[in-house]
Amino acid sequence: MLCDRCKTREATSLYQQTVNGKSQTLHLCAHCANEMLFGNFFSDFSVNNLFAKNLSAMPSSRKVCDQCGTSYEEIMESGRLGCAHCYETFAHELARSIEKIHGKSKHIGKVPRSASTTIRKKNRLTELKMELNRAIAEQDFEQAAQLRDQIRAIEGEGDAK
Amino acid sequence: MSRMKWYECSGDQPDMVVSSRIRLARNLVDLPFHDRMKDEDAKALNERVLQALEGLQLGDNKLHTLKMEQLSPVQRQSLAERHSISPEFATNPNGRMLLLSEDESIAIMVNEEDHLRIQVLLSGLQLTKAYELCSRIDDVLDETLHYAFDETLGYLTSCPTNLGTGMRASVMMHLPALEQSGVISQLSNTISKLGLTIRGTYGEGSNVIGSLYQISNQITLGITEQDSIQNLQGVVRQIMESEQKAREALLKNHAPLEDQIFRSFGILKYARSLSSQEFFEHFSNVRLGASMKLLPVPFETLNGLMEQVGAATVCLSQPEVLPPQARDRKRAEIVREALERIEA
Repeated sequence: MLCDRCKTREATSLYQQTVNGKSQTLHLCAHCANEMLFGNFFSDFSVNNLFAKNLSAMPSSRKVCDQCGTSYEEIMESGRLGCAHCYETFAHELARSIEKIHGKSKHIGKVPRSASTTIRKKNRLTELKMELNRAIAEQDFEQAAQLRDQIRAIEGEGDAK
Repeated sequence: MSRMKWYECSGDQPDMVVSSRIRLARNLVDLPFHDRMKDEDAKALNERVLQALEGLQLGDNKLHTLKMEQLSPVQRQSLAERHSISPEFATNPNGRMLLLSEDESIAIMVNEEDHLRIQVLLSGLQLTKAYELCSRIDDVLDETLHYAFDETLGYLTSCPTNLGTGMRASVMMHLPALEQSGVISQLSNTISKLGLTIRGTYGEGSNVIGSLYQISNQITLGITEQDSIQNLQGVVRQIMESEQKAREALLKNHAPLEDQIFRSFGILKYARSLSSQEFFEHFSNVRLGASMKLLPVPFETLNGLMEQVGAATVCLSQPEVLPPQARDRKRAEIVREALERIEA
């Protein structure tokens, strides 16, 4: 029997991987078995197939990214985009599956310094408001008052300009 | 003497947590993503990253530049076994570059699926510390490179599964008692509902290799880095409590467990040939024995062993990977040496 992964060498070991309770069994050669064994640590980053699967349910589009030439079909196949501009080109096609993967559609985390300061300020406000709600819910009024002042200070900066 | 490696240093909760890792996926705004890059783009990216890193201060933990195509296949595979690079990065070395710190805790992959994968790996439970270091490196790189970023989608990544923070946080845990009590699959269900993933790799037997499980965040959009880390940390602490209870329950049946632990120690200490599978089986028992203070083996030694027993890593002094039998002998030799001075 040939190895399920490289399809060239003879399979010598049985490999079973369980992710969130779902098992998958593969017949592997010694080389691939070793790669899978130690490579497991890295697999968390590549759930691309899952993404591509989500996409295929979408109606196909003939659009092509005018910056890198990637088509929607290619994205569906690889689960990867060609360039940053693809996110604009295929915004409509991608929106649903992005939300399906993450359950959310708006970034609230770190903003790079190179991005404009306005984005940073807006996100900081969203973050502070969430913390404020949490503080109120937990009846931590001292913390809430502090957060409210911080929010006012940031909002005030905008008015001054 | 060279600087101690990350796995030789101690971290929090070493009895159950092997390591903590943070990885950020980043892309430059003015270059196409990896799939669409030409050879000269990849080359230019390597140059620009090296230049940008000149502004990074790491003290004596300096970064080494490794051009992947200049390394032998054994060296590349060994880096993958030690979690410094992804297996894919090892298999396709062309145009790719790794920046690895002296202590191997910092690994920056250039020209991976994303332009940059910035990783910090620390022993024990140290997610916040790992994130802070990762974020500092991230800031220095962004200063000159300028990342692709969108107000709504966050950091733009080659694969949309990493959009938002582009951050994966993961913790490798040793859970022999929970595994023996058969509750891991139940635990997996709960964990996946929290937006996290638990992974284990099965060997030939019915147990996960080394009873080692990796728990990581799945969601990167619509959550801050801090909340993501807090969530993960919270779940890890809950798992630790359950594992502790399960270990106490195991101890009620003390004699057979003790026997198993000491037998495994004997095998690791004296065996002349050890396959990877066999090593991890006994390693898990010895690690449990160390946690229960039955064996005086330091966790640093155990963590170090894990990093040294991969098929390519045991062959590092050779021009190519040795055949399995020779490899198993070499592995046993390395393990024996590490445990030589430890008496139970």
